Amino acid sequence: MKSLRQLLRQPVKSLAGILLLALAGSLLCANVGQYATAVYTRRQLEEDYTTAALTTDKFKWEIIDGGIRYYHTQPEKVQDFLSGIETNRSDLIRRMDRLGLISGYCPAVTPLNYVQAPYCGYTYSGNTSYAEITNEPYTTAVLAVTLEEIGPVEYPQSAGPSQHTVSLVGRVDQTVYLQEGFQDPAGRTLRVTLVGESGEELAALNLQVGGRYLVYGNNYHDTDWHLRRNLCASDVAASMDEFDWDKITFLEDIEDEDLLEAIHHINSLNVQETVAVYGEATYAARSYCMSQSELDMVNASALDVYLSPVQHYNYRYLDPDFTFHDASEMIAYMESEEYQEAARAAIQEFNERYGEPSIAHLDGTVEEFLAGQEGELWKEAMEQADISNHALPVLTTTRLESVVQFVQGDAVVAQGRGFTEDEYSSGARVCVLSESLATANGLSVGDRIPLTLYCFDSTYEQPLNTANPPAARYSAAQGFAAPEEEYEIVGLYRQTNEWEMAAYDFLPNTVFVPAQAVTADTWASDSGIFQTIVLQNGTQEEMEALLKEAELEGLFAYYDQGYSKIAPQLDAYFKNVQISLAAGVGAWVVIFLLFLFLFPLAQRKTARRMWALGARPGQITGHVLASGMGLAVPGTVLGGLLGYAFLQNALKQAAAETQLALSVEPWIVPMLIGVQMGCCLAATALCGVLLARQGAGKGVA
Amino acid sequence: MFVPYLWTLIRRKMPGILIIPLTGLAAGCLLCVIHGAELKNSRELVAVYDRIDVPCTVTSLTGTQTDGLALPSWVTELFFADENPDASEAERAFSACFRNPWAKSTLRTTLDGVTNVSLVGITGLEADKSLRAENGCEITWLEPYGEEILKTGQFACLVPQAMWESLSEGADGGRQLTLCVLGGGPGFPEGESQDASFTVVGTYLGGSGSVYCPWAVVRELSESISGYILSDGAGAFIRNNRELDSFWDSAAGKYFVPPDPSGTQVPWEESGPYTYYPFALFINDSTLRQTIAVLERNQYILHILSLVVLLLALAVGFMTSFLLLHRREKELALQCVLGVPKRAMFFSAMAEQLALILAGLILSLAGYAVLAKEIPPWAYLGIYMVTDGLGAAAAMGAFLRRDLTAALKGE
Repeated sequence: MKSLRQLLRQPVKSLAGILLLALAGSLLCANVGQYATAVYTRRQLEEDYTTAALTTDKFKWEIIDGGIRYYHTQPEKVQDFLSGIETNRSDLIRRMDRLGLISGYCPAVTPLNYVQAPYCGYTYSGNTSYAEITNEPYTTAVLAVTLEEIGPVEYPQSAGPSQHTVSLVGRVDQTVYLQEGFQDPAGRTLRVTLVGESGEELAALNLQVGGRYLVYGNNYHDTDWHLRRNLCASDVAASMDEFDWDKITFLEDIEDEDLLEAIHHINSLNVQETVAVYGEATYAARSYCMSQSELDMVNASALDVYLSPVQHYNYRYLDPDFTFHDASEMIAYMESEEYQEAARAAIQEFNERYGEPSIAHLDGTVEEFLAGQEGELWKEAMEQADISNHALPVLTTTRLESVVQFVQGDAVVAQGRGFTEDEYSSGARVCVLSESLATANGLSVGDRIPLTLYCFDSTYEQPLNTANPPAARYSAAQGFAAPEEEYEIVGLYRQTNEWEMAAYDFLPNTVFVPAQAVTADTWASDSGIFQTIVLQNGTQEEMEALLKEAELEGLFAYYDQGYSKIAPQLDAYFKNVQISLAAGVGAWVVIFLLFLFLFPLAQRKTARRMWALGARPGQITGHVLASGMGLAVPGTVLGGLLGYAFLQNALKQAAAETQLALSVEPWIVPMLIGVQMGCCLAATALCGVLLARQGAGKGVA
Repeated sequence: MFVPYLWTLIRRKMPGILIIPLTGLAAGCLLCVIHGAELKNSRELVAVYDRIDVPCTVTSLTGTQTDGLALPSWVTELFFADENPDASEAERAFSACFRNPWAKSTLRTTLDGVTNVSLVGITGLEADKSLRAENGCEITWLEPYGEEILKTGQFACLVPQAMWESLSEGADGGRQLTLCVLGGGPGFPEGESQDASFTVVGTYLGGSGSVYCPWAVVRELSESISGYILSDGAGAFIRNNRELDSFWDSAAGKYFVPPDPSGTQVPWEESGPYTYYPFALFINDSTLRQTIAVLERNQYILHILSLVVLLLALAVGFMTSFLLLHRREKELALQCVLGVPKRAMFFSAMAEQLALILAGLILSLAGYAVLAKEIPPWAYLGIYMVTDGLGAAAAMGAFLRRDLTAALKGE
């Protein structure tokens, strides 16, 4: 206490000491704070830049004896490498970002329909069946038709063992139910493929030419649109709107000899026989040779109608307890009465569970039919289809920016923002959807949409697309997976080519939500858009070396958003910050030495006097330590607080200037104060010991 | 006379007096380093600005389609105006805003007069997404060719592996491919055809099944047959990213509109043939803006904190001078008693103080000049010297007002 009281006897000097240490402390805090902000900035940049390693098909191709073979799965060697890399090389792999697929029923939103898209020069590869765009599950249609042709019962080899089909051609009288995106087919030709279990079942329908029927079917195709799209792809027209079917000239009306000769030559090559041409019917002009099947697509639509769900979903009963050993045993088992009986029961149960209407003769109006007892099933089926027609594919993500299209710059968040860390971790009910979908439905950032999630009904449907995944068909038997919840739209994305069929594409109907927001089961795959291998930025070369070692060079294609181009600049930038930190620490050390020189070490005379008066070395050391720390404690704390205030002010101003907030961990200041105090304590104690020794050696000066 | 005397004084006070130049050295180093870091980081920021690619792509009005656009000749001419001696000033001004332009055009051709083959002209592999490795395409270039050939005007082509194998059965070993290029197009039924012979320079597996050749070749063929060229897509990178904000007014706004999700048509009054702008231009500058914003924020913090550090350094300088001189009160009082004039004492103390500080600052400047090779922050150092001098003056002022006896007693 006496030592501390002595400090009060020299208030100006003591205050100066406190101030000196406060300034030193502030200097250190300001410098360390600046360094900390630079570290956070670097970390943020590292997070902002995503280096994605995308698997290529290099090892799926095989050229044997001049023939080319393509395997749809990666070879075992590649699969082993990919499965082990995440755990074995965490120094190269930052994370594996995985997406989950689920469907979301949103009555407020009408999904975009592929046929609404203008013709686009999408890239179509023969190997991208996993990315094909379909209008599923928006293809259920209920149409009133007058039959014009009834084909014979056929037993297509490609169909299931108990499928018989009849082709019907009719004129659409009335569109009762169809997804809003399709053009109204009223007045058009409808080509129906009617599927039944047997010829007898089909014959029992007693269909009549000229009769009016209500048909409920799936896989509705606007074949006119498909034909126009194909013709566009053949450069006959630049846009889907330029077609005039009056420009079709039948073979018998063609006068140009050169064109006729060319057509005969084409026909001799055993390709689909040309029966007409579209465009100017001269050889020199751009004309498109049309086959009969293409002619049938003009002003027409197509629909598949199944008499029972078993045919529709190609359901096969398999006894779960039966163990397969060899084919003959299997055949014997399937022919047994026991199996047949179980299969009949299972099929009956399946039909009851997934029952849907097919075709019905209309005696009166459609409204009268639906109002009757028979119409109940139709209305129920339409209600169920309405859920599918307002369903969106929902992709759950742990990092939107790692979705490949975003990494490649083929998709950008054009309005609003992506998800924040808090939203990811808390599972906030927020979503990002496409600008096109939002515009079509009058939605904008800040609006809320209700989503009721449901899963694929694995009894009859399995997702196949690993790119462009559509929503699932709603199954009333399975129901919803979660209650309705409102999701806030926080951002809208834009794709540079929104209807494309490449390995990492997704549909513009896709809604992204944070993974934690969905508790229901989601479907995932280890390929396509469902998985992104995110590398540590700047580690492509090391990864290539690793691939070379494993003899898998070329397995990955890299996208780093230009990180490698700016990496030297970023390194230099942060090196400069490190140097200024070193200078700041150096300056602090000098001021600290100055403090030691001016205060603890200035007590040399006092120490000698104490020694002369019989004080023990410990007492001398204690005195020097107490008087030194008496200045150091308030000085350091004051310095820390001053430095923190400077830093906070700088951060606030920077946030106001750049619209980007940044906060520094609050523990940095107490830590710095602690470090400074520790240094003061050690250095002052050392000074005390030195002075005590000197006092012992020299006595009073 | 004065300098040797000063030196003698300084030598007698060694090593304690070293603390003064040491403080100057530390302050000088700190100010120089922080100033240097600010300067260097500004330059790095500029370099980052220049190095980030900002792609600029012609799109549909909604911004959701960049391929299959059937772009008329004037659009691609805008991007390649610097290669065209007949280009107008406005076109050249537009083209000057870009680097590495790309384009993709497709021509209808027949092989052996029967098989329809799409001949796709590209300026590089990036022009066609189906050629990307991750989309299942595996390209093999035949020696000595590579991707660079697509930037030339040579009649060279990249063919599907299957086509290559069927060509290999021919007399020339499959290195030559002759296609009959069909002219015409929408609104131009009078198109003619022309045979074109290509050297096969590479093959690919997967992909679209088209034959790829340099875009310049397709342009030449199309213009010779039809008199115009339609392109599927076109784009480039912004040449000077710092002029992004003025880019619309100076160049892009004359020909394009920004993408609008509603696809609303915008009247194009200056245009003769067009009533509305037919295409939009999408500038994907999100990566640039994000990176620059983050770095600028840090640069801003660095700037503010460098000012704070300057203020703190000044305060420390002031205090150091004050305290060190204050510590020598007894010595100064003794000088006073011995009859040294107060003015001489004042100037002597000030000169000693400033000389020592200057020595420290010169050392720091020398080190900075050798290590950093940057212009030192003269103003900062000058202010530091002045503040230091003020500290010494304040200490001397306080001393001169003091009672000499008390000072001698050390009270």
